[in-house]
Amino acid sequence: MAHNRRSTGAVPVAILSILAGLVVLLFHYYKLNVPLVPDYSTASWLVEAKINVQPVNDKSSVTLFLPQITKTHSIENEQFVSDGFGLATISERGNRVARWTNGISTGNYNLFYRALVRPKEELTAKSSQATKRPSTLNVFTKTEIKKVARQLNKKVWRENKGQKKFTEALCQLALTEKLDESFIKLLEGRDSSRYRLEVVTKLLAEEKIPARLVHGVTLSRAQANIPVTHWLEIFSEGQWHTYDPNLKSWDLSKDKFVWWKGEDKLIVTNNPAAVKTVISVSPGEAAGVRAAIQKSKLKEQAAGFLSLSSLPVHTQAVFRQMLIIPFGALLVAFLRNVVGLKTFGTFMPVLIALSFRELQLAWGLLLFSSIVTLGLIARFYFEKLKLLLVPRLTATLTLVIIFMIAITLIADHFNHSIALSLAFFPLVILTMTIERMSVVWEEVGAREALKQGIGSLAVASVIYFLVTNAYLEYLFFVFPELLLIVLGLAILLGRYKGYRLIELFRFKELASVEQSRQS
Amino acid sequence: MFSRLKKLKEAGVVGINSRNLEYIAEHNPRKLYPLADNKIRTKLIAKEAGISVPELYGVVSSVGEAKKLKQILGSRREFVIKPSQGCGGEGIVVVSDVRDNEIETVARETLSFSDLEHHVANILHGLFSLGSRPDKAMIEYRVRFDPIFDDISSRGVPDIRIVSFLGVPVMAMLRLPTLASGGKANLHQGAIGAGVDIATGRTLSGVWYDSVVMHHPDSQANITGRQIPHWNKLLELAAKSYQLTGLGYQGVDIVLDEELGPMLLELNTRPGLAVQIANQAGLKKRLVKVEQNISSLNSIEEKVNFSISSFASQKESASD
Repeated sequence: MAHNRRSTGAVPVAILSILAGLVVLLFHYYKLNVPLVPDYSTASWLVEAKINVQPVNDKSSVTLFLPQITKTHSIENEQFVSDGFGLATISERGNRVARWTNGISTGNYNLFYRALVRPKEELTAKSSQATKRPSTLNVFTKTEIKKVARQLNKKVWRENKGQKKFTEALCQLALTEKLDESFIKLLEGRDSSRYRLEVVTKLLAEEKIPARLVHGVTLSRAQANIPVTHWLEIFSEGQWHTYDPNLKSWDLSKDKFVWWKGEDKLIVTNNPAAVKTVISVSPGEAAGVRAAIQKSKLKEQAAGFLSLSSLPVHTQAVFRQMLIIPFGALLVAFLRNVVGLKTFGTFMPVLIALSFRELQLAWGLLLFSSIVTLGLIARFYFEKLKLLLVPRLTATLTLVIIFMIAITLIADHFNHSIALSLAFFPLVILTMTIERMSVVWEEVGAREALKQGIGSLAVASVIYFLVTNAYLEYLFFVFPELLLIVLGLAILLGRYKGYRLIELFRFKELASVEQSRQS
Repeated sequence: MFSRLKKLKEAGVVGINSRNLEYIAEHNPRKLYPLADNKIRTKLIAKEAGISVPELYGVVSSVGEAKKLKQILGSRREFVIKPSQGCGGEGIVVVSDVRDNEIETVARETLSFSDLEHHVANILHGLFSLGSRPDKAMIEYRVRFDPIFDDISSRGVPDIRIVSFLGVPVMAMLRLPTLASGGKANLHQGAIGAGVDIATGRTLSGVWYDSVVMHHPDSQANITGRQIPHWNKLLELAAKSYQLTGLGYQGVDIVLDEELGPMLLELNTRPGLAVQIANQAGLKKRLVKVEQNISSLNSIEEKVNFSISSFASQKESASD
């Protein structure tokens, strides 16, 4: 009986896979000049406005302000998703707008605007374009308010001469915690940081200084539902000057992206109650990646290779996190087969690590251990009740969720917002861990159960640092061919016949035997 | 670190990866696993081949058959309940006496009949089987172990593990239950493994939690130099197991019954490696030697004789 099934194919397959990965990687790197290190200082950003339109019985019309190319940013790859609406883009009073209209609005619609925003590498000279002085100014209408405004202006001007200084002083007045009484009158019962700045523009208009609001977002990290920030512009000496009242600076920092100008909201619609807008931003491919494609003659194919960058922002975010998971799994394989750590379940540590990403590591470890500890206590009690396996698992799962609710409520009491992050905890994995751990505890002993439990958490912690590493995330996202290398390494690891690190200690007695015999 | 690696290599110590790839994956075709993993099947084929096994009283295969348990047990006062596909000795209950509704186990626990039913239900639901697959509970004869090792085993039944490669016994150990192992003979549950000189059947030093020991931790009795009776018969049993299943690399677990003699308890497709510590010797050289000579070893007798002449304990042969 010969059962020799020598698997000699593994190593060539692994090498082939690694080579294929390397070839594509080198092609990316040398031919297309895709940088290995991201340069986020001039990175591009994907901005997205998602407009949700609830069904109304009336004709719907939604007008969205669109960003424009500015001195500091260029805009590429604009995309519109109209979902059955008619779409027109028009220029209106210095702004660009997209207008969606629909005759019959019965369903729930999602409209999208998506664009790639790129900071300009070199700022064009400031006076490159002569701008006309605006003819109409936004001023106060009521005479008694006008009177208050003039008095306030007179007082401020006396102490702050010069248009810029005057503007700065007015902004400071508008944004202080304790508002000046006359300023409160100017607000006419309305109040928001945005409206206060609008009042400043009106005050400036009273002094024949043209001024307007500027709105935009900060591009610093991936963020869904990002808040809109408001700035101010005054017209002086033939051009517009932007002022950031929060930073008290006449230079908008590079990460500030101006979306639209004027007194209007981002969305103008006939059914304001039925329309919701969410703005999201996420890093696009880093500077150089796109430039590389554009420089290349193989533009079309290259774009295909990097198709991940052309996916919708939401999907990209998913891929960014997904692509790194195989690397984490490879690490589990390494820690188990080369180091010899014991874990509960093969990929349980990967799932745990992914759930830790939403918390911080220390919090994750603490919560995980406390839920498992509570679960174990409950499980030992269930053992006494003598329940059938599946109902017992159901009971444990239910208790796990109750523990999570309790912990969330307690944390909420101390103003820790971990509620959302806890939702990412893998419930089933937690339940199965408790079950397996209790069986090992009873059958083999507490020692083995704790050993495997701590082993699992140790592996999860190491993987946590991998999957939260921004550079690794960048690498796998820009060079997805790295997965071929991971695949090859996994196959190679599958044929590793050597000792596990832990065995060097386990078999220590055998090492000393040999020595004593030789001596 | 590297010097230890070198020493282990020189000693021919086989690690888990090497065992899995070079011996289990190479010589144990997966389709044959059920012959060893399913203890009911092992029992059947062994019985057919005329190998002595603990008598099977009955099998409970579904929760609906709960009444069957009472039927199978009848008025028996001693028996063993175990999962047919359990791994690592998990889920085994050894009952030593039944009085009224009080069931006493060798682990000195007193159970009620409903406790026993619950345990059987857990077995059926796959709590102890690989991958939590639904399983069957088997109720079998409780071996009355030869009392010769009573002073070096606590509560449970000691057994003899012989690692057999292509039908050649290569290494063996006597597995002695301790208080820590709860009467079970599994090393990772805390039992002691005493190395056995393949040539003579006499015990060498032992391994307990991966450390070398000379005395039983409970009784302090010396575990070395003890003679296992019927040794040649045991070696034959180990050699026959290969023909039984076709599994090239397996652990053959044998118990010695006071009256019925050696019995095949179960076969193991993934025998542990602590046997090397118990014997103070690596497996590799022996396995290589078997591979080199296997073509000339045909009968059971040839294999056993080859084993006796090749794998005598180096310590004893050194003192000769």
